[in-house]
Amino acid sequence: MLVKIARLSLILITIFTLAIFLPDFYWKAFEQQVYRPFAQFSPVLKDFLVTKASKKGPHYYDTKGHTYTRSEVDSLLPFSNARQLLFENRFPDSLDGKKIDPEEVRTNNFTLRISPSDINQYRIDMYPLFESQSGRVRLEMPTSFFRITKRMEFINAADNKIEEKLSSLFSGALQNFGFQFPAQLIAGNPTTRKPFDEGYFIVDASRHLFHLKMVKGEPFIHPVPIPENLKITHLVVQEMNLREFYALMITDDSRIFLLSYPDYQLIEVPVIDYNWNSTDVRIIGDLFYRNVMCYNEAGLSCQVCDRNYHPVASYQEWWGSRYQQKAGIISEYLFPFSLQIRQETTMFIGLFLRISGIRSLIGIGVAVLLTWIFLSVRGFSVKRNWLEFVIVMISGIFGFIAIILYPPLRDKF
Amino acid sequence: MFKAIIFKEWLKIRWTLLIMFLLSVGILVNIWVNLAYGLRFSNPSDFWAFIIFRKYVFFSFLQYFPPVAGLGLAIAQFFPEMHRDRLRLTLRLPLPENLIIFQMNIVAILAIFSLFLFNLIFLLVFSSIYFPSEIVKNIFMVSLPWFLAGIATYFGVATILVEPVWIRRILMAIIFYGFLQTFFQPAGIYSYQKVIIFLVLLVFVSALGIYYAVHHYQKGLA
Repeated sequence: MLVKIARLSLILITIFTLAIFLPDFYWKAFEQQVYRPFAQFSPVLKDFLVTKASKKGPHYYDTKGHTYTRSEVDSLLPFSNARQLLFENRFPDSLDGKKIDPEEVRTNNFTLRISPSDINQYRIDMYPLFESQSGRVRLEMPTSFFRITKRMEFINAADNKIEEKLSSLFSGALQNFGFQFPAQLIAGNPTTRKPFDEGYFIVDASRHLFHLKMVKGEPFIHPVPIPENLKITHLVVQEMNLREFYALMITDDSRIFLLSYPDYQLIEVPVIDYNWNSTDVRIIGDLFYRNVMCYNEAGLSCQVCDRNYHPVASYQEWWGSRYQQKAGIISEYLFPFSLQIRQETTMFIGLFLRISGIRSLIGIGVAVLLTWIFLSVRGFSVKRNWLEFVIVMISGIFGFIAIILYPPLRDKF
Repeated sequence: MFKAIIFKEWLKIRWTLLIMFLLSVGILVNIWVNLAYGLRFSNPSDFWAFIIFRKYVFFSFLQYFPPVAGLGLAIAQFFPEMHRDRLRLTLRLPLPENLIIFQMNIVAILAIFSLFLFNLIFLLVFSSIYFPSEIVKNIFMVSLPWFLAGIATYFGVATILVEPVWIRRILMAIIFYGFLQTFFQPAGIYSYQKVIIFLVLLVFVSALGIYYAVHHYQKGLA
């Protein structure tokens, strides 16, 4: 009995390993590159300009099917190509009857990118609190890091000891504003490479949002009212000279909001096909528009809106998932399922099982036949070894290989 | 009888165990000295930020040790047994053969477990001099899969050594190498938090295979 269990354990390990590595190896050998389009909104054409790479280099087209040269694209997208146009002395003086200035264009250009793996990842919940008004031009890394558990504690990195004075100052201040410890979510931009510091946005234990920063050594705390029905999943703080919004907020039902300057008004960003668990979203801002691009595994959806976040135009393009490629269809015949321990959308190791469709029955059928031949040739009783067939029916090629490697036990020797 | 087996196995593995112990102390002291040096000669806040936000794993070299220790102990224990078919004599002892193998495994696992526990405690204790509990907890979570992999390596190598057929040995080694990759996804970047229990389960599954190899060995089967 023990020997039978031992054999099953070896078969299990083999199937587990093969289900991870065989499909992976297969895709490395046969996957065709899909060139993902990049759609920008041209303020000149009032239409999308799509850039798509190919083996021959990038090509550019609009939604009406016109194609453009690189140099034409530069002038059709004057905001994102401002430097090139200035270099060639082609930068326009005005657009839509509005005078434009290169410096203003530069200030208004920004890109925010939030991937599902930014949200699905383990965080060590300790953060540096910058002095946001030090009177110095450059931000400096503080000597301590804070945590917000039973209270707010600052720990000095040099000696790993709690800074009691600072800790009680900030804990007390938070308490005065009705903050419920511990913090559920702490979001900031913990780098000195930013133009100024806005500190942190913190969700407390009762789901209330607070803005916290340090101003001249003192706590600055501002409660931010959020409608009860919004559950914050993720916050992105990115200080920009534009000072249009403090933070970007993603809710658990995949809506995107901005917290605007100066009075923390919530502005909902219109978005198509967004799911924080699987979509890579980029928000590309310029002087006139906001382009919200959502990349899913199989397609791109863009929603362009004006500076007041009213929808202006949208664009969608599909290229199909890799399982729609020829290699993908063949893989479904070959492998009844595939296992992954890593996925692009998360930084957590997991067991990601993908079961192939009805096509896999053919592969399984072949594997069962081969198993029958193998058992017969090696002189094993087909009837008595029915379990082998069950294994192969579930795991197809993986199980067949495992059975060849670990043949059944013989009754007599 | 168990006492006799403990003694016999101890005689086989003691030098390897001592070498592994010294090797791990060497690695850990080296990591400690490098860490202290790094903290002294850079801004400690920057060092912390590097660990917290860039997921820097200052002890990443340690990941190679557990599989090496598992490999070493399995070889120390089973290689002499395979020489001139000594295992056949061992299995003639007046005990069920599977129980003998089980007791041999127990001795080695106790040795490996104590070694790893010592390593882990050493690592966590000196880390907690320099880092707060949040970082120390992360160090534990990052290194745990490596130690589990060390135990799985022991069982895998023992199984491969006992297996009598060369071609199967080679194929098992390839599969097992792939299997161990599960425990070694890039340190710090990926988190094992959600699958630790599953990894422990995999280690238990890997502990069973050896009885199939022993069966083959006893019957002299292809």
